[in-house]
Amino acid sequence: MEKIEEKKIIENCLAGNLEEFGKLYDLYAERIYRFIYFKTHHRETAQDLASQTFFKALENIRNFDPAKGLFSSWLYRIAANSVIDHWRKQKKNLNIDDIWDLRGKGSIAQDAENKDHLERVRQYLEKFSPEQRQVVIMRVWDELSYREIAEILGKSEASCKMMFSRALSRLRKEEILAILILLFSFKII
Amino acid sequence: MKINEQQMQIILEDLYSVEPGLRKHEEELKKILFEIVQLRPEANFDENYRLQLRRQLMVRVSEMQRRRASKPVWENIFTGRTPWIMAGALAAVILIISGGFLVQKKGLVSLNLKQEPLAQKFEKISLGDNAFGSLVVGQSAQGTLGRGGGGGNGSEAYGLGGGGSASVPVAGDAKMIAPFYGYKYVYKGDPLELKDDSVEVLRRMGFDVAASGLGKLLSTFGMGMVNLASFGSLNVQTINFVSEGSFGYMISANPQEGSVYISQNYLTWPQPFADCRDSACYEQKRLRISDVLPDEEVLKIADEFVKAHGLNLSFYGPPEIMNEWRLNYEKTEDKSQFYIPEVVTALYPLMLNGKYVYDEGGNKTGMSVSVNLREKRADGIGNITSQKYEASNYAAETDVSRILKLAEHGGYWGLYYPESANIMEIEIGAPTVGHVLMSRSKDGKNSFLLVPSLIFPVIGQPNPNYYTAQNIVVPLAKELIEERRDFWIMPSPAVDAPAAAEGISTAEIKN
Repeated sequence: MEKIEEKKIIENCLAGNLEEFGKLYDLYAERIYRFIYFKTHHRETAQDLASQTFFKALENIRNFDPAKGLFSSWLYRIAANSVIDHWRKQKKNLNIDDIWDLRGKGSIAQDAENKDHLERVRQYLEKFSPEQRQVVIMRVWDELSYREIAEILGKSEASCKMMFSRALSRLRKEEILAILILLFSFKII
Repeated sequence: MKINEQQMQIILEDLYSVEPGLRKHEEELKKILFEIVQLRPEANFDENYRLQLRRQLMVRVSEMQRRRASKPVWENIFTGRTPWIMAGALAAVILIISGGFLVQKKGLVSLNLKQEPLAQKFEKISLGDNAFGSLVVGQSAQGTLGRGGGGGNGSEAYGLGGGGSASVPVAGDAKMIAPFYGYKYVYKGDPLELKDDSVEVLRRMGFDVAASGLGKLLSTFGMGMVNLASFGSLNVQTINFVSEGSFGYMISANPQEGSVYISQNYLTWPQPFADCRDSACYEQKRLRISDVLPDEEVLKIADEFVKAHGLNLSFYGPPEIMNEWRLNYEKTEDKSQFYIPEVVTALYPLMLNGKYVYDEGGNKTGMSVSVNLREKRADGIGNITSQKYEASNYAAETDVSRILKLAEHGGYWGLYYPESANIMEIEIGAPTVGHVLMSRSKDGKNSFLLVPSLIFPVIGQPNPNYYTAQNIVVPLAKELIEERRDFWIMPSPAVDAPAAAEGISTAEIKN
């Protein structure tokens, strides 16, 4: 739920007092940057896309309708679109919806210091379906509410919760299975 | 990254609400969640970047919000042909020079200018074909929003564009999501015929500062402190003037973009919430619906202000009050909680060849005068623009079926939805030909194009609560039609069925 103060800032912006947009920027700048970084893994790209996101939001805030959804969802959706546009330009033939499927399919710029870590992340997240990955990342890494996730993805809250639940259940079962296999292999040896 | 116990518990409780049986595996789930948290990449947010972007945004806000001083006035300044007077002393000049340097010296320049009749006129300079390069958006301040791209599953899809999906009910249960509609635009007009194989695209021209008398004035700006010539070639990006005295104004011109904005000089206007330290104070002082002026009075104030400052209204149609907020107000159940805006805006819609100019969402666009309801006076004018254009011909789309197909999906700026979604049919009527304002950004410079387009009026919609767009816009330039040949497919909203999304939605900027 949007805080009352944030709601008033947004109403002020909608009423034409765009100086208030700076306050929205202060609230969301880091969150949006991180959201984009988790999809690009490249500092300069994330900065560029975050800039685009906020300029787009500023230019189009008149089109935001509080009756139709949360401001945060609207802003994240712009960010998500910016990322998709970016990938589309970079790699036209890839599944641009899922950065984790991009490995090995071209020269995607990534921060060098994170490369090893990202490979570990990729291996871990590979256990999820693309849509589960998105929900898990948004819920745990971006700390978004299910309502925000639902509005960003255009799904229902219930389906997002279900995806998250299934993702974790699957992981849990796989870990149990891995332990059993390990125990079994020891026994054989 | 760390996760505290409370956050962990919230996530877990959400899980249990879906699958209660998981509660008995809480320890395992905690371990998994901890692993996922630990995997989160480091994303250090650079403070310098944060500050720099904030500054850039505020400059943009200044350009958007603080526009006043008619275009003709600027022409006079820049050409040096006629001196002029502005009410109030102009006391400060701020120059933002392309290298990012800021030169500000309050009181350096005090201009006393004579007012003479303003005579801005429409001018057009014809260039060769395709003179502006590709019309397709590279990086647009607006244009990339809400548009699709790439991929698609080949299934039939319908538009979500043009004005409104509905996702959350008004004043309803916050956890409930309203039916998510895709839109199919059904053409109900007469058969179309497209004869022209080219269209004339216009590009707005800026002001030539270097060739004007202002150039000399600016060359003295070092004032013995800074040798501006040492920076080499300099461009003037933004010039701000400030009028002082009570209810003063800030006048901001962007010579490159050919625009002027005027806004209140907030230092000289009462700030009703300046002393508020808590929400109770804010609540007490905020406006009530009874404080909103009748539209006629707003228009009268706006008209008087426009005329007092010599703006040429011949480029604009009759002013209209932008009352979108009233729609939300009417929909809101607890109206006492609705925030009443401090200003109401009158739009003077720009006209070209007797026809309205539209924005990318199909709304009329033009000069906007904001009226402060508390003070009952105009507090700014936005989007006063140069009416000098360069013109260039581009190939036009002549295939009616492609035009109508795009219209069916919500136009050039529409979004697309799988057929499996809830589809609401919207009727659109015979189009008129008008211009659509499109912004483009390249190398940090914005340019503004007027692209001939078909404007399809929305004539029938089953549920106005879910849909508010007035027009669907399809540009006639062939290149832009080609760009939309591959429609992005929105993921299924999965209201009733299991979610089948493929990824992050490419939802439009209109939420």
